[in-house]
Amino acid sequence: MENHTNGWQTAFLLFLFTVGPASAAEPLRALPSLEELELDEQKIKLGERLFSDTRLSSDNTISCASCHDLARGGADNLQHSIGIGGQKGDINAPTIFNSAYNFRLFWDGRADTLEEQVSGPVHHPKEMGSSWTEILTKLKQDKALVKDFEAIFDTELKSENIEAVIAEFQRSLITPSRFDRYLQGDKTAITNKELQGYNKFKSYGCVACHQGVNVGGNMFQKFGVMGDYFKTSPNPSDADLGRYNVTGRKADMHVFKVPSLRNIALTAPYFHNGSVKTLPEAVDVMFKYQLGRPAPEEDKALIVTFLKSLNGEAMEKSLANLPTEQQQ
Amino acid sequence: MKKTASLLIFIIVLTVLAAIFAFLYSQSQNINSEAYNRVNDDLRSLKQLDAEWNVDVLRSKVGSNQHYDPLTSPQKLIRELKDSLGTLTGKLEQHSNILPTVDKFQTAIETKLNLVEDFKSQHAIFKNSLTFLPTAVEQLQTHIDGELGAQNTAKSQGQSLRVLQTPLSNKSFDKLEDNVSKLQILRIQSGELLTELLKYNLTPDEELKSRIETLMANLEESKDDHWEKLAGEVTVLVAHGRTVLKQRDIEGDILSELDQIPTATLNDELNQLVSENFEQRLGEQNQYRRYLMIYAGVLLLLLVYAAYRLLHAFRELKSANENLEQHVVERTSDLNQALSHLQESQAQLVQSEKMASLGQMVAGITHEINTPLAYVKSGLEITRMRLGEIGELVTATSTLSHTLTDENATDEAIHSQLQQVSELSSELDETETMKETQGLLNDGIHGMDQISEIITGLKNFSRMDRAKVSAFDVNDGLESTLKIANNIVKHKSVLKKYDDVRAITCSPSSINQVFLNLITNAAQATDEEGEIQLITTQMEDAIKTEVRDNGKGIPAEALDKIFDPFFTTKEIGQGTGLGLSIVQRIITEHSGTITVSSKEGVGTCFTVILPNNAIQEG
Repeated sequence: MENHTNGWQTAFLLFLFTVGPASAAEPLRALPSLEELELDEQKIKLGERLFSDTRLSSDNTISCASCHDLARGGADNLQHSIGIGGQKGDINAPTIFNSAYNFRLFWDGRADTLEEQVSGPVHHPKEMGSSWTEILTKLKQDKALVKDFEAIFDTELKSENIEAVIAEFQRSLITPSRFDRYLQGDKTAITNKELQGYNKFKSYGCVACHQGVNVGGNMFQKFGVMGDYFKTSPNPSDADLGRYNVTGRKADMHVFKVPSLRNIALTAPYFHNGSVKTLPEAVDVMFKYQLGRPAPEEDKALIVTFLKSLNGEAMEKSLANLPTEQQQ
Repeated sequence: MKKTASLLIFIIVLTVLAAIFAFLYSQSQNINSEAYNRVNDDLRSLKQLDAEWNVDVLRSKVGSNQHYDPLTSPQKLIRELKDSLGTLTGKLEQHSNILPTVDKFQTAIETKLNLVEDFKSQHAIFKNSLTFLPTAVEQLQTHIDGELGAQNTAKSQGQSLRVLQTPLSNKSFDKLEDNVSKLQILRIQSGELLTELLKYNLTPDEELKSRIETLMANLEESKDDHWEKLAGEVTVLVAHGRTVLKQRDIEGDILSELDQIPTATLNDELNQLVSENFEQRLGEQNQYRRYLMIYAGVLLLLLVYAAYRLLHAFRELKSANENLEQHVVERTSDLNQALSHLQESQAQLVQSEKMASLGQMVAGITHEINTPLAYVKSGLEITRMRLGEIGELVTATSTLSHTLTDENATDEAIHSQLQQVSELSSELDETETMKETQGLLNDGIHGMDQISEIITGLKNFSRMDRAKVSAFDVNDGLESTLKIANNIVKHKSVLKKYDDVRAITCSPSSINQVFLNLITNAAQATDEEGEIQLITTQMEDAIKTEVRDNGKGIPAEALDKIFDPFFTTKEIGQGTGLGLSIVQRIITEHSGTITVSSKEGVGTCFTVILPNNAIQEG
């Protein structure tokens, strides 16, 4: 590309050559295996320890795991999470699982990377309400921990290292599902009804946003494309403004990161405000405000059935061990 | 001080030279080619990513990309590259002309990232509605068809009320026919709407858009008159139709905006600028390398010169070293010569001082000797004269004795001869010639004794061999000196207070010279009525000799200098000024001390202390 050809011309040429077979591809992609990821086992272990370390909060009551309970789908099943001093937060905790496949973090996408995300809850006054200075002071007294960090990093204990190990731990939290196996060619991995649901999911246009490896999580979308959701929204809050809070762009009003639908059946309540308790209700809301079209109940039911096939297989097993769990 | 300063200057010069060298060296080395390489790599990667990204936008647009992952995944890398590009170009040398383009490029990328994000969102909406349109129209038409069938059945049966009982309860048969045609229009219009919207999707233009809007308005208008069931579907269809129109425009805008973002051009521009900068830097580096070589050459020359100088200096030093010994030898022999010269002249001076003293003495001694000599001479002359008279007597006596013993002698002859002898002897008796002659001879002997005494003193005194050491009685020395100096001291009253001193080992002539000097000085310092005291005292291991006078004294300011050579208060020609300095030297040679105390108008006292063993015998 020595000459000054327009990138778009080049793009178009490339496009002509490659357009054919891609059209047959599925809009959803399978998760990679843990082996493929080649993660750092030491960091993961250390990250796992810190993930449930309450010293990250100012009053030593809240850890990451407090709101992202791995046994509860990587979330807390609450409408709004509870932070330090029993404070109720402003937003529904998204699942920690597969978060590495979200293109940005938080509902409003204000963090670009997992590492960057760690500071968010740490500093949030209604979440952990702490600071790195405070945390480092506490953690540095833990000689064993400091030693473990020094075994990995050449530097002394610092916030970046904590972020790195927690992020590495998060990258390890992936939940391959039966549907992944289906995508990988195992046609018997899902039931006939689930397959029908998947086809409905595609034909109704859910895949316009919920696509890719994480069935969402790779784009922003306005909540209320085909109707004003927030006109009748219960408990309006600043969080409803979505990405507008980050960019200040009018076009970003009520725009949110499209959430991943993996393990969606396990992570009720739904939406950023946790206003919807069940999955069928959530599907109804989506049909009304996003797709802007009616659908027969049986189709929606099929879609819900399909969505359950996105539950991590390991998750489903551990779910069975939970004493009381609502099943949709 | 001067040495430190020159050392400081030397160090400064050296530092400056080294600093210049370091500067040139760094300038000839410091192209951060790694940074250039990374910028190049980043730009290339960005170009590649950008091109692929564009393809993926198009793919997503035409639907060959089923999901946004290909469009999303490069974002992180693009953002990283964009950020690192800023950091890296900031590290390049003289990047001021690059940075504006970097800024533009970064802004362009940022804008593009946001636009692609918008595209994803807006395209999802657009695609959803567009995909739904045929379904929506089909559903609507199916329902219309059903309704039409119902209407026709009702018409043919002549019965208006069955399925659509409520809305058409008060309608006439005409109305029923009207319904049929309206449904048919709705069916056609919905089909037309679908066609036009799909057409608009492919080739959007304002005319088509307004036609579509009219169609949708008609549909909406007519829907109130239609059947409830159909009304909802029409609303949904129109809503999605509007969405398609709106989103097609939005998407078109986004895509044309994306098209206008000159990331590729800026990438090339930046590449060009960085290459130029690199070449420029390379040129400068080569320039500096040349400078460095020249500078190094100059330094080398300087070094060679310094080495030459050093070698030269070393050589000089070496030869100077070699010469030095010779110099020293020469100088030493010169000095030795000068020293012996000096010693000689000193000895001469000492000698001449002695001679001067001697001259003074000779005058006195001559007088001393002349006096006895005169009366010895006159006594002898008188004696010779008297010896004539005695001779006549002797002759007469002899003749008489001859006559007496001669038998032929007459009495007369005897008598006359006897007469003559008697006359002669009585004459001798009368003039007491014998007695006088005796006296004269005694006097003469006394005079000779006197002269002999003087000669002995002189002999004792004037022994010049200074090395001759013997036992010496200080009192005798003083006495002997007094004799020599008799001429000078005879009018002074000399008071002697001699202690019973032990003999000392010394050079007597030197010590006599000291005494003579001191006594002469004392005599000269006093007037007619002067008094000189000579006091000797036996101390434990030494003898103290004091020479006091009651003369005019020595001024205080001269007192310090009197032992200095050539210092004299006498008129020129009167003294050499060496007397007391020689005195001091002699005493020092004898390990003794000489001190002086004086008070003007009262007198002076020289004190000489000589150790018993002043000079080791041998």
